[in-house]
Amino acid sequence: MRTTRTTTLALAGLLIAATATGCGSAVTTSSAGTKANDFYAQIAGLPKDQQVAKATEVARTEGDTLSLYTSMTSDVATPVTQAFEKKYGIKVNVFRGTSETVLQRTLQEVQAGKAGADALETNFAELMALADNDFLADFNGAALDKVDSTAKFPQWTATRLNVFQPAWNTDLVKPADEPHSWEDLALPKYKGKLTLEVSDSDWYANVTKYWLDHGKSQAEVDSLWQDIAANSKVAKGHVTMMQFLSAGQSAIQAMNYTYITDHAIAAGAPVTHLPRSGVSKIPAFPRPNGVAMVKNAQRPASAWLFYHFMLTDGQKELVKLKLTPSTKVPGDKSLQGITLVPFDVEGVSRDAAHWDKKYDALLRSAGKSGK
Amino acid sequence: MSLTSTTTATRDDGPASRPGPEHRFRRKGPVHRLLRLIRRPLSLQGLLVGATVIVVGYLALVPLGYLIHDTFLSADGSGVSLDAFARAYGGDSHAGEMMLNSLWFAIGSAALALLLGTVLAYVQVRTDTPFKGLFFAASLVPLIVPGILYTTAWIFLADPSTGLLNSLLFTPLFGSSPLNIYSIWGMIWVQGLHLAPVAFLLMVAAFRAMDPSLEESAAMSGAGRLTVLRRITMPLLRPAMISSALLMFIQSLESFEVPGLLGLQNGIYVFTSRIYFVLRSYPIDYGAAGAYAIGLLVIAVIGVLLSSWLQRSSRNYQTVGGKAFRPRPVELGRARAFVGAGVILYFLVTVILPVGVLVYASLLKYYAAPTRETLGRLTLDNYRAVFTQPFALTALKNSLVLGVGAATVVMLLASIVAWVVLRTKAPGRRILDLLAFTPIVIPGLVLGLALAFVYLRMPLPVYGTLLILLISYCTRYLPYGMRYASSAMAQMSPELEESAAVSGASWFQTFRRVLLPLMSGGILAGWVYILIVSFRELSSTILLYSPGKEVLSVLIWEQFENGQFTTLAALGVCMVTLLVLLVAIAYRLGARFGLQSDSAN
Amino acid sequence: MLTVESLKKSYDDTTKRSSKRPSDTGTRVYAVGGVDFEVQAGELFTLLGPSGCGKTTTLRAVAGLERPTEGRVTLGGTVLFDSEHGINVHANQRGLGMVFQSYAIWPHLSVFKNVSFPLEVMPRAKRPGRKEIQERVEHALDVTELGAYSSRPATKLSGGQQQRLALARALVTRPELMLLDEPLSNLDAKLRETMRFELKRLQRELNLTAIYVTHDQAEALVMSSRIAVMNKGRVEQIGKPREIYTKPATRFVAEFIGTSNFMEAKVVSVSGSEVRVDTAQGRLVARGVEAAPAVGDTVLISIRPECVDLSRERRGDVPNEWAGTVLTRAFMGDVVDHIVGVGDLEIHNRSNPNLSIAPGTEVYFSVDPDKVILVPLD
Repeated sequence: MRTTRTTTLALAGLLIAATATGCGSAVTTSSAGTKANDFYAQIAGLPKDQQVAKATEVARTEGDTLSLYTSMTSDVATPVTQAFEKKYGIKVNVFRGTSETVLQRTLQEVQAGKAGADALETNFAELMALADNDFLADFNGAALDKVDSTAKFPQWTATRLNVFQPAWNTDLVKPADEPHSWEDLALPKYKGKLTLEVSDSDWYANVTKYWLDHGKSQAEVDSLWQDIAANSKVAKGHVTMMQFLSAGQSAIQAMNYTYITDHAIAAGAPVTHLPRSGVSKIPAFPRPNGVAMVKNAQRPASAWLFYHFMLTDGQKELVKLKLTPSTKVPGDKSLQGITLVPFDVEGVSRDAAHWDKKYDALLRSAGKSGK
Repeated sequence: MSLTSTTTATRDDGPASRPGPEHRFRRKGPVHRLLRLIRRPLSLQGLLVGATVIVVGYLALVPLGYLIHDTFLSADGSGVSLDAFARAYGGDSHAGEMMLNSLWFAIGSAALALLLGTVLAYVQVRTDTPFKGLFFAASLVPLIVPGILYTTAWIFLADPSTGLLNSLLFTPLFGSSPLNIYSIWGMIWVQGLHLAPVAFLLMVAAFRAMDPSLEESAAMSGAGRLTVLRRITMPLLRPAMISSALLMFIQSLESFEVPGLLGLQNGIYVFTSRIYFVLRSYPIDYGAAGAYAIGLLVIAVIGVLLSSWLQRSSRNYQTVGGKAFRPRPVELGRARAFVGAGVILYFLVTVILPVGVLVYASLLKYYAAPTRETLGRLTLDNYRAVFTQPFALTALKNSLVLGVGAATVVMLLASIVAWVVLRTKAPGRRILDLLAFTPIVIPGLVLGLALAFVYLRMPLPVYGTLLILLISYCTRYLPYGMRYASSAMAQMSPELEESAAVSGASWFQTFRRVLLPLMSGGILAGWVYILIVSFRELSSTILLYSPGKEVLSVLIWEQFENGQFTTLAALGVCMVTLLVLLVAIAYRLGARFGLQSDSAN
Repeated sequence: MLTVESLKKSYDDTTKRSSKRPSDTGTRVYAVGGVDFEVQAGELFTLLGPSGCGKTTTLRAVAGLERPTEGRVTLGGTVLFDSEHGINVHANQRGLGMVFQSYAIWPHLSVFKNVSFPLEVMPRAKRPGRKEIQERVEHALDVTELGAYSSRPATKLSGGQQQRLALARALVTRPELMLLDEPLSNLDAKLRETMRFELKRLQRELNLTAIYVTHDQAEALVMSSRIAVMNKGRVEQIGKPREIYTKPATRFVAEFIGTSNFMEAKVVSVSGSEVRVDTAQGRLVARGVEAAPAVGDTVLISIRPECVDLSRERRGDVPNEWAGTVLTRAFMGDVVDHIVGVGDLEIHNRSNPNLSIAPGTEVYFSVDPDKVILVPLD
């Protein structure tokens, strides 16, 4: 009897799901998509000095609005979009979510053929995933000239960098106890004082590769990680962690983004990511966030202008907000005292699942094992 | 000069003194029921019930279908496969430990919440305890404070090294800091306290609906207070207790804030933290997430079956008879002072301490333990920030519309479904009950994905409007509404509606004028609960909201993401103030519509 | 056996009755405003009054379910409650039996278990053995004619059976005093009448002492040994049913019990227990007046309809004979009612159905001076 019911349930469910899928695949092609592609082709063919004027002209016909999906937090997104609105007279409707949400929503909308986002500004991994599916459009504007080649990717371009460094509470970590390398985090003096973030597998991947590339054996690397894990507790959310670090609930974080630390410092919290000397020797991995135009955008010209803006005037806005821009901007002090090393965008996004799994396994041993 | 002729047949003709029709009905029963059954499909009742069944079925089956589709369909879409389960539970996923943690956490939290909620409800409804006003706040505030904030407040209070309770209370007094919030006990504590108001609201309704003379007659039989409690009160309240326990058990299984913020520290993983891991990596393994969700579903179904087995005799438990009664409070006498102290203590622990921490934090630029220095730096900047947020007013309006809308729709649907399930012999009513219950285990994110998937492909203008959020909230909170409605219904004798029907009322009239008012205690409690939790809902909201259609929970999330915990605390304090006011108004209105009519002896 | 002295119960701001009724708070509302009575062993003592008169509150105060504000309750030499000495024996230690208006049958227990409960919860020292419990429960069920239903779930009983079950449960401990709170009010009219006699029979056979609360005067008159009529938290009159009916002490009692013709009158002369009064319609003489008023006082005259002696002819030799016209006639089977107009007054008469006078007929009627009741005007 009970099995019959369950089967009925399952069948009913499958039926609905199947119907929904069936309906879905019927409406994927949209006229917006071809219109957008025409525009992208047209503007790519123009001489670079005429592109902005053309885009501005076409944007007038698009209703002077732009739909932007972003993982910029509202304290960043609001001033940036306001500057854009001011400059081009185009109103921005912002959808803010985590980078995972931005990806999920965009994927769903594109697959359903529903016009959603015109432009995106989010984390590299999600942009890579969308670019792999060919959901984004190429950009060849003059704005790219100022961008370093390491920041250019097929279908998207880096706009800002989240720089990986340890962070600590200056009341709880005396200058003598400051870490000077990633390896230092494995020292027994940090036992019970260290915090790891649950989603930092990209940091784990980069540090591991860096160590392997700089002469450590796999065994040495593994042992270092084991010791770090043994020193650590686990927390969720970089921002939350910084809150607890500021409040003195935790002493030191294996990794946080330097801009988050800088913001806390600006609010007066006793935290830092730079040693007393003011210069950190710890290899800093800059993780890119980027901008992209959606292929079947309803307002491709506005999207193009936003892309352009994020690499030009938008960069200055980012500096005002104490973020790290992807281009050289006068007045940018966010990288002072930091030793940058390359961030492995390709490798990390290709093997994301592999690194997630390894990092997950490492976290399970956090605070438990240890010699 | 007057001459009066007085006829004195002074009988108060309350509803109580008309047992005649009921009695007659009992004999006529089968014939009458048959007649009703024949009339049913054509009547308004038939249409209403039919429509409800369709709506509930639709709400529940859409996400369920999506879930099953993702979980059981093999990767290439060619057939059914169980690979997802292997990925989710196999390998080094420590599935056994994870399930044990989940169960332990959920059972512990449900038990704590039920214990606290029941004791409080008893004290509030049945005794002449002092400070009755505090119960109102104690039953609402923890419910209103978003999980993120409530948990964070407790971290500040009971962190093993720097928690205020440890550093200001235990260390100076006892020389040790015994509280460790990052343990399974800490998790149970915070979750239990956060859920206790749910139990309280449910149990208050149950106590109100119970004829106090059942207990008084036990006292008159010579039973002491404890014997009465053990042998009469508790068995009679068993149906209500079981259904609230089930609700809280499943809600704990499904919650993420507490395990996320407290459990991860020491590697205490539960179902939801696994789902979180699975969903945040790309390509997203919807199959594995679904497999976890189905694991939850199985546990929940076992819970439902267990609870209906435990309630198998509940038809005999209906305690609201056709009699009007006035609950008379037990006089506590000397115990009054102790009970009063207990109430104060509870209020202190669940409301004053966490909210105090929030208020304190809301006045700082960044959180730091209170010292002379920090106290000298207090500022109202955070409140200014809240009120100058660009979307604050829109979000408030949208949240209100959605909260009131979802609460009303759900309680209406739930009352009708509860009626069908408990009062009719309709075939498939158990399935309906189960259907209305399934959304409880569907993680908010999965629900969000399912709804987006469906409505993106529908020609109706639903996607990108507030309507899709309303659908999402109705789906998510239908199971909760069901518990409130069905425990209110289960305690009400069918004779009441039967006698109304015999007095010539149509089914619809009976439903509206007899059932709903009598259930109103439970329904109002459910309505308030849904209103409040709608304000908090984030996991599906974040996927389904559209620019310009922000709601309060999105603002909360944004503040949290911005790292402005102190602004968030200010927002939380504003929300608590607003919702407490709102609910107070709701109760006032409810009371005016004869929520609990007292009738004289 | 039971004595209740100056019992008062007020609801004031310290014991809020209901937070939803702010108007009640702050003011002192007396539900019972000083009640005294005594119940003799073996009698069925009734508290009778309209709803809200304080009868149930009084009963619950005796039961220990409600704590009186003031007063003293003693049962056979034991003080159950004394506000002055701060004595308040808890309800479960008073050793009383009680039947509730709603019966309060426990729905989760069987018929047998409902009745055995009071025995099972006795203090260990006094608790009877299992066998004795069995016997006593069976006996109680037999007495209430429920023996055949022993193993049924209590909720499967009909209304009348539930009522008897409540009684059996109250009886099983053989309490010194039984408290019955409107036990018949939830039964239908026919069953109620049967149960009246049933209850009375049980009370006599088992020689029970009982306090019975009801708002139904007919029920009270049929069943009681003595009645206390209550109004607005006070006892208006205590007496045997016949006394209450024939000699109401107050206008309220006269109005509440049965039907009566009322008229105001002025006292003309008093000689011993014979009082002559003038009404607007004529002179009346009353005999056997216990507390004679003074000449010139205004009093209320009450005459029961069945004491109005109706005839077609003038007899002349009877006192208190008036003339009038039949206005309406109502045949009710065992009796017939006539309304007789005298001037602008209507006199209600009730007689043997043999007498039937068509409306419009000139008639004469008289009242036995012993049946003319003087009620002090308050």
